Amino acid sequence: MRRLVPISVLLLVAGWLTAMALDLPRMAAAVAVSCIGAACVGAVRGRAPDRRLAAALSAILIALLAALLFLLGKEPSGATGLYLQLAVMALLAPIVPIVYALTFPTDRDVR
Amino acid sequence: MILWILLATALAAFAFWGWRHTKSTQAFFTASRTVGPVLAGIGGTAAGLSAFVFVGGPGYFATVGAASLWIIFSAPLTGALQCWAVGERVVSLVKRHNCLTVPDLVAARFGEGWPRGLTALAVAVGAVATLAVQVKGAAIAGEVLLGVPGWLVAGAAIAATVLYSAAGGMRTGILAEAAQGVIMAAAAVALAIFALARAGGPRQAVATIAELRPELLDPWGGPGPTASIGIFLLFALGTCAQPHYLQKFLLLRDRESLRWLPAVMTGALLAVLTVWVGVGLGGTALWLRGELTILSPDQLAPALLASTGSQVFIIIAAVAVVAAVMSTAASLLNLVAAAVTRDLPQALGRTPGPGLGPARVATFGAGVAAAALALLSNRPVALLGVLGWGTFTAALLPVMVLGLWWSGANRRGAVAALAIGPLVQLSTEWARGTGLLAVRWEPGLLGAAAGAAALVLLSNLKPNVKGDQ
Repeated sequence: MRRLVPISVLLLVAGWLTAMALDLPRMAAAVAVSCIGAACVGAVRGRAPDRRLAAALSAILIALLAALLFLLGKEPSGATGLYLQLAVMALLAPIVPIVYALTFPTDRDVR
Repeated sequence: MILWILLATALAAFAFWGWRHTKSTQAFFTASRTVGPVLAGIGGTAAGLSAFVFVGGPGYFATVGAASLWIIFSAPLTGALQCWAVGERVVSLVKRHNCLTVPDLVAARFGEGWPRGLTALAVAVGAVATLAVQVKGAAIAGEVLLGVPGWLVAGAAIAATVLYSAAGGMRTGILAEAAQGVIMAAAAVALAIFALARAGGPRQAVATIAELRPELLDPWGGPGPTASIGIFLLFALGTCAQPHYLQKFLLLRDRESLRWLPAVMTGALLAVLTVWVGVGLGGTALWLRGELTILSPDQLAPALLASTGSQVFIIIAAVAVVAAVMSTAASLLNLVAAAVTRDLPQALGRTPGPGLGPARVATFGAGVAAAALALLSNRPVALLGVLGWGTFTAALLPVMVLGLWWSGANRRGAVAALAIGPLVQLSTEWARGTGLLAVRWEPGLLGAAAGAAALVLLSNLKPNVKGDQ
């Protein structure tokens, strides 16, 4: 972990700078979602060996990335994009806090 | 007039109650750690949502349309994300080191001196800039909604907040914030429904925009897709670096309070954000139809309400905006007071002065400084808000998210991250302003990226330097 963290952080930073410099929105979306996942790694490790959070978080982030990539892939027409933005928010709003509550460790402190 | 006298009397009584019941720094800065998830969740959301949401948000929708929603797109995630990324670690550090402030957390992890001092400096500077947003938002709402000089409304709101914040610190602050959060949520839902109904319903509002300005329905319009994703990430991860959000973890009575905190925060947040979508859509549709005249985007929400001629809605809106201003201001005033009277002296090796007198004076000084900044700045509310948010993100995100839990992080890396992040952010801000850098280079994120890189690189150069905890 001591070596993995610096490498992961530097890769994410390099990815973000590349996406910005070359104006690559798909790459920016992938890096952005990865950054959100990376920010939660400490909590996931603190719950080991319980893998429920890792699984739930992966599902949430994959859904988020899929929505972003779908939006990036479609030509702007009508209100579809606006409706999809609102639908993703409406879908995640109840799911994410419930995932948090259900995977919250009770029997010990966070490591 | 009678209403104003009653309000002033209630405010004075509340401040007096706070004065009587706040006798220690622990009570002043952390409400004696007696706060549960409901109070912290609603209060934290109210503190996080400022006049920016009521005034800047709908105005930004009128400017860039659906692309403005990238600022709030992460809202369903942010409650849990804050707890996963920083909240659990903060509560753990509080338990072991009895931390009272955000710089206390950094000092507990990386030692005294520079880590505490740079964190306190970032908190003080960023908080004053964010306070200025509150002053400016109140001024715009006062001018357009109530038809009175903006400085009068802004001055009254800030003076009232300074009064109870100086008297009771977070003991009165968190109670007021929670009450203001409930008012904001109720008002936001009512205003959103009203705006959409006035525009003929959501479908009609969308149809109007599709016909007259279809580019406003493009989620990637305005700044473009890459920049929009940057905005989304800034407001998703940035929540983990805002000291007025982090402060709520210091107030919690126990670790179990974290379990339902994201649910409360998310519910309150989405209720208030309905004003962004509802007034943004409805107000923009009315403006495009020529039923509303505005001179600047920030006037969209106030002008919509003023155009109705309904005193009830105007008062609801004014109360909501003032509540938003006051709730955010209370936390920020307390943070500046802690940074100036406690953390900066400690960072310089001095013992903080005894009693609560200096903290109360600093609370007053922070209010005056923010008012002066708001009057001197010509930036719109939305942009001033993004600047404050970006400063906190650039300075604190690497240390709070990566530094607190990664065992390889050390003092040298943390100090570098705290110094480099804001420098890169402010340089990028300047470079974007002069056209040297494209708009997609988001300054806060670039600062945080530079800070994170500095943190891992310098920590690896010489692990476990003196001062690490």
